[in-house]
Amino acid sequence: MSDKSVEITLNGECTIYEVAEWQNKIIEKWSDYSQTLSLNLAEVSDIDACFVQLLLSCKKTAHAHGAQCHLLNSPEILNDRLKNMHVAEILQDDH
Amino acid sequence: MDENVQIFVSEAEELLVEMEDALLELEERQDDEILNLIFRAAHTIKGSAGLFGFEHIIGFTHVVENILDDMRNCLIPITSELITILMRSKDHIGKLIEALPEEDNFDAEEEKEILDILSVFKNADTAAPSIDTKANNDENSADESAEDSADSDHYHISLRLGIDTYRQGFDPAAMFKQLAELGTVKEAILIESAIPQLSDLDSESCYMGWEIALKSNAEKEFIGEIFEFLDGVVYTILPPKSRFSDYKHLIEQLPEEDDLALGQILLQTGSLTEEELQLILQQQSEQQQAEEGGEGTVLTGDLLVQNKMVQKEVVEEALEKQKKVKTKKQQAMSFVKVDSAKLDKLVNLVGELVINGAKMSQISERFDDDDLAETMESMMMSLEEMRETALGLRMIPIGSTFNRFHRVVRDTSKDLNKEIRLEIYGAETELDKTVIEKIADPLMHLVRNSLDHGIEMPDERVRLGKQKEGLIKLNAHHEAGMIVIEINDDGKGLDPDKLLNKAIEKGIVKENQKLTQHEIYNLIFEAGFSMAKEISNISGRGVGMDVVRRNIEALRGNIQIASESGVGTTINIQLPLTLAIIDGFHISVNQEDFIIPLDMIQECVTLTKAQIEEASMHNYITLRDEVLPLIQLKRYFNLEDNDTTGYSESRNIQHENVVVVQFGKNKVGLTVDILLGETQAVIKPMGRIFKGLNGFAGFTILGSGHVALVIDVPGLVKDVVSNEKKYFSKMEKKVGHIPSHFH
Repeated sequence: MSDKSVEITLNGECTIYEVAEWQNKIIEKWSDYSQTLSLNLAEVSDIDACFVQLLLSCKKTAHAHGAQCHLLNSPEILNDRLKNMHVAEILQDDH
Repeated sequence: MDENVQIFVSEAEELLVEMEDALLELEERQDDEILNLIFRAAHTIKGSAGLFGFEHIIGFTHVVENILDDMRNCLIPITSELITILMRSKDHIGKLIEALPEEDNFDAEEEKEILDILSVFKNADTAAPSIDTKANNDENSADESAEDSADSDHYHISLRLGIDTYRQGFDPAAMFKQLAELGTVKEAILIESAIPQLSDLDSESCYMGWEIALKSNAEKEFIGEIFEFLDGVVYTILPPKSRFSDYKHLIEQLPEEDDLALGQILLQTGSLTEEELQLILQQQSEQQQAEEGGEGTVLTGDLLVQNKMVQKEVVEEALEKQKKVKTKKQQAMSFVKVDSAKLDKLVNLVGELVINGAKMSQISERFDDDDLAETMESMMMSLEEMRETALGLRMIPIGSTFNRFHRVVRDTSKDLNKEIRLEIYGAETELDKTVIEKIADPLMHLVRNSLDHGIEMPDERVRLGKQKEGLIKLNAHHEAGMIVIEINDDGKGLDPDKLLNKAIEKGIVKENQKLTQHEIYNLIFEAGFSMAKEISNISGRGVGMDVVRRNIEALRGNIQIASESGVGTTINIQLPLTLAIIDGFHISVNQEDFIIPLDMIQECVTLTKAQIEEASMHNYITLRDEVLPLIQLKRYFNLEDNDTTGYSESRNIQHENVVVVQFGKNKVGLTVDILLGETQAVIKPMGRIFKGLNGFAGFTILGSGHVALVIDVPGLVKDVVSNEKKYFSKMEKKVGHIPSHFH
């Protein structure tokens, strides 16, 4: 596992309308999956299940390459959304 | 047709065959595993049809699946009538699949009739709730008084969202909100195994699912309404205290194939609480430490059962699922599906290679080079092996053809009010695919004949002191390079007098003609001979036994019948192993090349002077105290030249080569000029212009580039035997004696 990590800051609404664009951005920046990926959610105003699925895929990819994927600075509103979908534990267990 | 649809069709056809076999077995032996197999076959067909949106197949199969599910839950008793309608349903699914990609092209009347009958069975099941038409809601409500129900006090919802869920604007968050309005979501475990890794993710598609425990007093229907209108969603709702069989069913239906831990599956189905699982895991760890690896690891499942925390059957079901997934994966790895046309091409190419190999081998003999000779020898060995392997690819067990007769025997005997059992032997005997395909229809005809005309009515059988239940045996085995298929029944047998009268009446035999019993029996293979007094829909439809015989002879095979009045009839079919390439023996007569199939050859002998003398008198010799008829190929094929070596013309020959061939029980000696040795021959069919030519099975191209005719040994043997019989029949009139070997 590499010591380096990649941090990506997401912002605005993170829904099905933005998901493909963010997927490309993440793939572009996180070129080495064995590096730890940190996704900074501080500026995210909303998230839907489709976007949550992208985060889950990032996590799965990181684990498959022996790395980790952290969600940073998740605002309270986002935490509530993740809890409502019963995905909070899975997404945040890399801390 | 789209390639994927073709795969679906071929897989569905295999599943339907499995389903039919299992249905027949179920009628004999009521077993949960067989029932599960039938259910899985229907379920898989429905699921795969769903991938292509074949709504009609999905709808019909779903109704069948519901009935099967009720059978699994012991809500509908398994009866012969139920099996019959399920068989019809299976046939109907087969027809729907056959008509693809046309979905509207089906027998609506047949379908309506089947559905009506199925609904009678379904309605008889009063204990069951009405079944939703939605394809995914097929579980039954709990019977609270049942002893085998789980302790859970919550609904268990198993949910897998459809691929387009997000595109349709549905958000699972809203779903959880609605569930919360109906009660308390005690636990919801995300099933994320289907979510691909980042680079493979189609980010707008939905791959998510949940296993949810919902404590609620709401009716099941209300909960179902939340999911009901989502396209592609698959869900199951188990009410509180559902029976274990429902949990078993759920475990089996879960789509995940990866290694879901047993404990987790049980947790998800609500059979086990989180705490119970933790406790078990702790105990397991302690036990392992105590044993220090002595007895090996103790399975979580065993501990669960020991601690009576979960019923054994639930654990067994989960383990069984894991085992099945592994077996399925192994099977997928060990078989590859190949288009049979590609195999044919390969066999043809190997055939060409064999011809060219033989040619090269002959050329190499012109050079006195040891290295070349050695390389050629090794290449020829590899070629031979390659030929065997290529032909082996086309060999399939005859069992698949035999097994379909279970259904025929079952249905036909019911129609005829007879009781008949079918026994199959040698199902593993392998035969060329083409031969198997072409033998299926003649076999069907013969089996139907036995069913219709052979086996007597039950009362009649009892009166005759026979078992009430008639018996038909199908048997396949290898014999002298041929495959022998026997159809035997213990019915009334053939009546030679009736046969003879019928033949005389039809003008097939002249009134004063004398025939042996064997010949009389074989009259049934003559054109225009049918024994059926009335034309029934089982047999006797005009396509008589002569068609059967012609079909078998077209495969270079032979058919014989033996019968004993009151005891039964046996039909014996002999077929070549393969149609394409044979091991041949190269001979020469009058400088013409011929190939005799090696399998048919018993031995090669050189005649002594005394034997030549004998042969010149009678056209047969005595070989080791056995009379052996001779065919002088030169004369038989009209290859006379200036060198007159026929027995009647020349008495000065000192030796003669004889190849002894055997077909069935008859042996014949072929006199030839030169024995040239073994060779591999690719048999090519004779052109249409030579269709009427007897004595040849085809031709082949030799290494030298010359054409050699392949001798049709069965044809020759039959010819000589029938000629000799005629001859001795005349002799008998004169001297009253026939040599014993012709009987």
